[in-house]
Amino acid sequence: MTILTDEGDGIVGRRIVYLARKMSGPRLVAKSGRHRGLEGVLHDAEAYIDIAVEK
Amino acid sequence: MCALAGNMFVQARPWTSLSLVNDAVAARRVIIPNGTIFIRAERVTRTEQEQAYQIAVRLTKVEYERIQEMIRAGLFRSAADFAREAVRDKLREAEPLSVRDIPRKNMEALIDRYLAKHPGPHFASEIAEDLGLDFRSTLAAVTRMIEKGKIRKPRRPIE
Repeated sequence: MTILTDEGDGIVGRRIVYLARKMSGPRLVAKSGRHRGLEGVLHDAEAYIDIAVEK
Repeated sequence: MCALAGNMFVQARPWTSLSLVNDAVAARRVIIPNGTIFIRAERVTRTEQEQAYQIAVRLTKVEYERIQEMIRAGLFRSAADFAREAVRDKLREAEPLSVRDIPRKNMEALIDRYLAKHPGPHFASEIAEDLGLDFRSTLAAVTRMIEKGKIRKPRRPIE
């Protein structure tokens, strides 16, 4: 597992789980057409890409 | 029964309108001040066992318009749907979550039993939530179990 801690580092995943002290937002961001999503800020946070498993 | 509020059209289901029907001044149409989602808060009986409650909420024009924007964007079906989601989110948020701190071996056995009992693919976060475990420890346990070959990543991604 890689942990990124530098400012500007990114994390991309289908499902991301976070633990944070505080959360601001989320707010709706409308770009063009069907491109819309939510954005927000996590304060003092850590986030992980969720893992799907089965037996 | 319908109510007209400024430019807002409130479509009330029959069971939400009992108070208006029973009122001496009951009418088919009711004028509601702009920004009011529903005229009064009261308990309405749906069945003998199940009860529904209504709460009147007064919003600013800006707040109301933002809700309408989100409805137009397809995020919610109606203002009521938005309000319901918002209340549920807040209640969920306010619910304190206590996680169990259990030894690594026991955690793996617990996850193993969970996956045997719930066939099919599951996210580590779902497992952690259902078993009341800390997400980081669950993630670590799941990773170890994959390495040991006890569990595997699903062949097809979860929809």
